[in-house]
Amino acid sequence: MRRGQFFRKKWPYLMLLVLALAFPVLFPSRYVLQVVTMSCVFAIATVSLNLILGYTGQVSLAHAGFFAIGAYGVAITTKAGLSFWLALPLSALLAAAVSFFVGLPTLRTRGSYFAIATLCFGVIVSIVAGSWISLTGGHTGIVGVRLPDPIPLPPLGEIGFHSKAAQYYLVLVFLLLTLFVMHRLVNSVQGLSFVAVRNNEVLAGSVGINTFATKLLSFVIASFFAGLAGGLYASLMRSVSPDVASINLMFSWVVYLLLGGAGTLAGPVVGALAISALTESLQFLAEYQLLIFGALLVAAMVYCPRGLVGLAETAGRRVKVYYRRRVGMRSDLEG
Amino acid sequence: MILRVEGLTKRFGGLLAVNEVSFHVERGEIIAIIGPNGAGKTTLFNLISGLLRPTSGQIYLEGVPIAGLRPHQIARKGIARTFQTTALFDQLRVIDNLVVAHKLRTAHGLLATLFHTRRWQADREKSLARAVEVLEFVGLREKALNPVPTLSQEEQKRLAIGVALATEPKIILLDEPTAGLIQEETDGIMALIKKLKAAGVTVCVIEHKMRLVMDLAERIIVLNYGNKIAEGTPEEISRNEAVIQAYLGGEYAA
Repeated sequence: MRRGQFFRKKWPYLMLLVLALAFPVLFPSRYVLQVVTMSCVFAIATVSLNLILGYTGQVSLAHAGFFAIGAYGVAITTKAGLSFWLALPLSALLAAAVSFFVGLPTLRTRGSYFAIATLCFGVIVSIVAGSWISLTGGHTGIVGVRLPDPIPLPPLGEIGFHSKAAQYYLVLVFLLLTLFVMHRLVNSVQGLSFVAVRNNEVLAGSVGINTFATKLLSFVIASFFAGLAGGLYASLMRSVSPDVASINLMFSWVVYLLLGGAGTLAGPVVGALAISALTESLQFLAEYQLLIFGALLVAAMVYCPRGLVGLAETAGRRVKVYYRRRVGMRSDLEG
Repeated sequence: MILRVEGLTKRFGGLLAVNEVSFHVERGEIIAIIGPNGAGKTTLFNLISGLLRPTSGQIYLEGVPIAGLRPHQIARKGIARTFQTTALFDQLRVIDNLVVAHKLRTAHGLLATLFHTRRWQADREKSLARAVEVLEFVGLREKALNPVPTLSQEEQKRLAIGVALATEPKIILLDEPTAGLIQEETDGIMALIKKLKAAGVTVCVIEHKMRLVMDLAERIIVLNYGNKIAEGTPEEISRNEAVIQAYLGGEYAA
């Protein structure tokens, strides 16, 4: 009975999961897989940006900085001989630790001041990456980063990551892990307190929520996953350069998030995949692409401020209301 | 005695918003704070709830000094408040407003949230039970799953009181709970405040509607220009010369 209910409620998600798993079979092209894999890496970054920006309402522009810390962390430590499987969590933890100390002063500011303070941090990371030549290789960056080490699997040999399909599945696993963590967070009292801080910080404080600690927690978790995405990026692209800390990358995530739907779980994933696909199919427009994105962004902000997912939800609700009215069903109380 | 305020002063530059105000609140009573606009009533609430730091003076909750603590610390100690312009989490559903307001009485960490431990489930059930209990108390049981903006003005004011109640306070500070309501709605809120008292909650209310104050409060404190000019039962206050002068005009001398 419970299991039956589970399938009845979650079947759209299971369908999506099956589709995601079958993707490399349906589209075996190396080019397509590479594009989708990288969009999934950026989806992880966007999903984590959503926690601090979408749910907690703090416009952090330091995200590319933490992505870069994760990327350089993995590149440097794996070059030094550390296993990728240790380097990745350590680099993500490093990003989280740095964000803790960045958050302590910057989260005391609000609104656009916080945006500017975090933007500065991103710029600092990019300058450090470009100038600390002995560690980061300066502007040329680090090339020849190792692919993720193969995972030994005794009876069958091992799982290697040379094929694009294997790289795709690797990133998919981390994307699902990130989504799982976000799902648990958002659908909990903890998640409610993030939204409460975004919604009314004064009231949140007066009902006993430590608003500063709540913002800091959100910032640190978001940065952890940004670092994780950066680590995957370095290993799969096999190189890093100061560009990974650039404002361009950061703003493309913001665009993914806003077009997909900030403050929703699916929004950032939808945004990252849809916009990446659009970018690829609009390659022939070269620099005029930006014109289209600019127009899209303005249109989205005016007509569907909650993005594609918000649009879909509203449409879904209208259909439901219409259906209920026709059937004459009473709305049931259910949590 | 549950709350004791001693020589509380708040100075904004050259303006003395609250000047050496002292009073106390007994457990289980309803006390009203009245005074003309700009008398310092809301500032007094902001000081007690930690939104502002007092320039000098002390506040004791059950004998423990709390002046200068941050708002969330004071909420945890057991003082809840509502705001004059109804403050709610209008992006959350009605029930989630109450669940999140009960968070301070739960104690699970981040890992418990991620792994849905037994502790997390127990806290979740406790918070939901409290939320439903409060919803029933304020008469919004049927609106549990509604988005806040669909509630009427009066329902929103009830919910605001509910949000304060969900924190399991020892004393609740209501800042003009009937502002902007018509007569019938005001009666509804008044009945709710009486219900609070019956349930053993200590209430301190700022109110402008005299009829309501006289009917509700056991004791009244009158502020004018930041000073406490009178304190007493409704009877005494309605006869007090300084109070009549403050409300009807004329020269006021301490």
